[in-house]
Formats: sequence, structure tokens, C-alpha cells
Amino acid sequence: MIHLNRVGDAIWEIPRQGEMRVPARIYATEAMIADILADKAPLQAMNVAHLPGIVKYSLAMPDIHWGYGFPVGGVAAFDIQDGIISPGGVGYDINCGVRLLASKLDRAEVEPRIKDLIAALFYLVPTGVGCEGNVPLAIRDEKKMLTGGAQWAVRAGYGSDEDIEYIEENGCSPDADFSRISDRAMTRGRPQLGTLGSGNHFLEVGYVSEIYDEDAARVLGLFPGSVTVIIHCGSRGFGYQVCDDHIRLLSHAAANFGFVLPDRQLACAPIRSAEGEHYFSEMRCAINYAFANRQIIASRVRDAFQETLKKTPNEIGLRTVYEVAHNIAKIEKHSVDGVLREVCVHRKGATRAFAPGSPEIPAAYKNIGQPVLIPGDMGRYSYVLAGTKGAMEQTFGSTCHGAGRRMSRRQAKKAAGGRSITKELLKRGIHVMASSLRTIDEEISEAYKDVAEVVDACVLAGISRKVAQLKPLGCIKG
Amino acid sequence: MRGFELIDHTADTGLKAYGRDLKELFQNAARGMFEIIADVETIGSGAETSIEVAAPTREGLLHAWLTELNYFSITRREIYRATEISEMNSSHIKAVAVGERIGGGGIVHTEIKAVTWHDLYVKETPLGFEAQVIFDL
Repeated sequence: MIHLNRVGDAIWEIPRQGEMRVPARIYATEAMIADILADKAPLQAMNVAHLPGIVKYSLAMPDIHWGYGFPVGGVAAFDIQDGIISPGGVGYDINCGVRLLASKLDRAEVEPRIKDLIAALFYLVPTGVGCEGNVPLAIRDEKKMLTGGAQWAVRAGYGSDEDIEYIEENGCSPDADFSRISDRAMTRGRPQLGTLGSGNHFLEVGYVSEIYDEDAARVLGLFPGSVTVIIHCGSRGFGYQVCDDHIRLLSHAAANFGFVLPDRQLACAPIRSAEGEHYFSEMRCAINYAFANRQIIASRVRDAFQETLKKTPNEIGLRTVYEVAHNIAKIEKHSVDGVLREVCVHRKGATRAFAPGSPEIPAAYKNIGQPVLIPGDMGRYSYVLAGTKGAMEQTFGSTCHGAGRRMSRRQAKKAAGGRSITKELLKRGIHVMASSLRTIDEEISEAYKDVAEVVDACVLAGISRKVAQLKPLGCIKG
Repeated sequence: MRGFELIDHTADTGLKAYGRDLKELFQNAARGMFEIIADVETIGSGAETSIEVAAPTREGLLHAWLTELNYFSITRREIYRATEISEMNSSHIKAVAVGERIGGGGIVHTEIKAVTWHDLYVKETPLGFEAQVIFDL
């Protein structure tokens, strides 16, 4: 039984014990903590606390659940000089993330055409196993994409420079080096650009259902009833292969570095080592792949709206509100006990949530803080949050990333047994198209925590504030 | 003896595989992995792929075996209903995987992003061998 101390309204601490270098901290309300403790995730947060160079705490956001290696919802910062970088701490889906688009259209204009719109999206954005992306890509182009990210995609004709301004890192991670990328990563990546994938990835059309902060919502261009689109996907097989390649390389290297790891999935290398730098430069290629992928999908979304609604791009006005990454490692500067330190922040199922005034935020959003995009499950709602000073002080500028599962896929399938989830959603006005019916069953609302509780825990802890709520009209899945 | 069973994992899916010997264990683990990806009963047997992997440990070999099968499944767009291991020792496998191309009529559900190292084990039991693998979906 793990012993926890409550150290804040929504903060729980697992004291240092055994070989842990720092305590672990879990962000959750009192109502959530029993479920969290029943899962293996707190043990995984403790395992992360064993890693060399970890600064302050091994953190877990309120959507924490059992992952592999790091818990999903895990945040950990490592000192740039004596800390590590861990491919397993970023995950296989490097730079999995969320793009939010907002339109000039009102819910009432889109709702009567939602069935056709979802069908058009399903046609234009390939989903599911073995899907290929209709983006002609020679090896030479693939290499340019790996260094250029979303900026390459704009140059190739997908979207506009205006999108770039509203993507984390401006849609391009510098210093990406593809010179030693495995043939397998290139082979997996090439046909999959512009595809959504399967599992929990999705594309959702919805509308702004509630506003909590009028000023911030106005700045973000979110008004009651306005139609929105959420894109959730990542670096596809390219990123999975980069992660797999480096975990294999590093699992042999752990002994050389003198590391004793509680879980092989936590294989890591000192940031300042040839192995660490090698992973870092190839992880950045995968980051750029994901940026390019979401940029291409966003462009296809605009095509689907125009074709279905027979309106001009200007009438539709689908603009990028923001795009966040939630599986990533980044070098950032954070104040630690009053001293500015350079650290490598791993966010594994966690979102950057920088405070107002941070130089990394688009100029237009400087006063409201970085937008944070938190998708919920298929049937309920999603949230737009903003970063806070509290996040900078407590969590290396990080917050939650989604609802977090509470049921395994098998339990979810059992709960969906004998029901038509598609029909149930349709009755509630939500059109769903998917490559696999089993995926819909596995992704039923009940399989997830209520994202409202997750968000409220973040607000209570002071690491985010609420801006708006979005509700779904329809979605496509793998 | 059961060939494999799926195990509950909150975010992903895992399996436990069983076999009287390592060869049967590895074939059953492969079957279990493709049951997660597709309804294997609906998959035909028109495509064959040769597989050869090597790794220094039993766990490493199981990881390499499943990773290789998943890689070929994705890049050749094939789902494998069975594997036939022709040569095997503690660090090397030679086999043929039999299945059909995606889109050939079989029911396919999800891709496996990767075979993880988390909680991975291969152990001897009174009945033979048992292994556990967690996949990232």
C-alpha cells in the first residue's frame, strides 16, 4: 500500500523512499485519489523518481493512469548537466498532440449538414490500420519534412503561415538530424503522412458550449455556438520506430552508464552523452513529422468544410487557435527554488501550460497565457484552458492532457456489449464514423474519467484556468 | 493448455502466452498479438512472409519476434493468422508468417504502435513456459 501525504487542496505527495531521488507528487481531488491508487500508475511515478538528475519531484497530472515506464500524465524535469533523457519518458507516439481550429460558422449552420461533413472528413483524412495518406513523398521530400515540420507542410501547399504562428515551437523543432535515422523509420513514415491512425486518435467537429473567461475566449476567437475542430494524432509509425530503435540502443547502454533502472522501459542516457544527443536529434525529426502531419490534416479539414458546405474559405474562416504537444521532451528554463535552471522537461501525456507573459506564447495571447487543449471522451465535452503562474511555480509549466482512461479496453468492450454505441451517440446528436466498430466500443464515454473532474483538479491546484468548454457534433476515428 | 489470454491494462493491452516449449510459446504470443489487431478467424492465408530474428536473451528474443512481425504487418499491410517456426534456439528464430493483405476481406481493428519492455517476462512453469507482454496501442 502506497502511503500518501496531502500537501495541498489537490496535491498528494509520496515521500522519498528506497532509491527514489525525489518525492513523487500526484495532482488529484479527494474524490479521484482512491481510483488513482487502485491503478499501478503511482508506482510508475515512484519509478520515475529513481532516474538520475531528476529535479524537485516526479509529477503526475490528474489524468494519471497506468502506462509503460512513465505513467500516462507524468511530468519530470532533469538537470541539463547531470540528468537523463528517456525515450520511454516521451513514449512511442512522439509529439502526439492536439490542434484546435475555430470557424466563423455557427452550430446551426453546420448541424443540418453534419452527416455529410463527417463523411467528407472520413474520406479525406485516412484513418485506421494500414491507412495511407495520399501525400506524394519522395525520400528527399521526407527528409525536408523531418527538418521543417509544419513549416515544410505550408511550403508544400498545406495551410498558411498564419497557422505556424499558433503552433507550439512554431511547428518546427530545430536541430533535427536525420543522417542516422533507421531505414525502418523512413519506411514506416513515408506512406502514413496525413493520416490519423487508430486507437484513441480522432478528429472531432464540435461547438463552443460554454465560456468561463470571456476576455480570454474573445482573444482566442471562441464565441458561444461557434463551430470548432479538434485534431488528435501524432508522428505515426515514424515516431514509434524512432522510440523503439532508441530504447533498444539504450537498454544495452544502461549498464555502461552505471544506471540501475526499476523498469527496462525507463532506458535512458545522460542528456550530455553521444547516445542522449543521438536520441534527442532523432526525436526532433519525429516531432517535426507530427507537426507536418497535423498541418496536412488541418488543410484537409478545410477542404472537407468547403466541399460539403459550398462556402468560401473566408466564409468558413477555419483558423488555428493553437496546437499543443503532449508526448515530448524539451529543454526549457525554469525557476527552481529561486534559481533559473536549464532542464529537460519530459511530458508523457501532459501539456505545456505556460503563464501569461512567457516569451514562447504567440504575441496575441501574451496577456491570457498559453492555450491548453484538453479533449474529453467521444460523448461528453472538451476544454480549452490557459496556462498560469502556478504551473510555472509547481509543475515546470505543465498540466493535464485529457480525460485519462478508467477502464481497460476489454472492460470497455464488455460495457458496450449488446449496445450500438454509434446509435446511442446519434440519439444525442453526435455522428461517429470509424474504421472499426470495436474501436468505438473500446472508446465509449464510460471508459474515461469525466474530463471535467480532471480539469477542475488542475484549476483547484492552480496549474490552469478554464476558458471554454466544447461539445461534439461528430467525429471520425480509426 | 490455453494458447494465450488478454490481460487488462488501463491504457493499453497486454497478453499472457503459454506453451509446452519456447517454440509453441512464441507462436501463441504472435497469435495473441494479431487477435488484438484483427479478428484472426476472418483472415485468409494467401500471403507468406519469412521472418528471422536474433537477440541475446529470451525476453529480448520475444520482443524482437513480435516487433518484427508487427513491422512486417504494417509495412507490407498484411495480417498474419499463424506463424510456423522452422528453426529456433535461445537467441535465434527462423519462421514463416501466413496471412492476408489488409483490405482482403478480413476484419481489422487497431494498430499496435509498439511492443513495450514494461513488465515483459518469459518464465518456465511446471507445464512449460509462460510469457507476458504489454503493447502500446
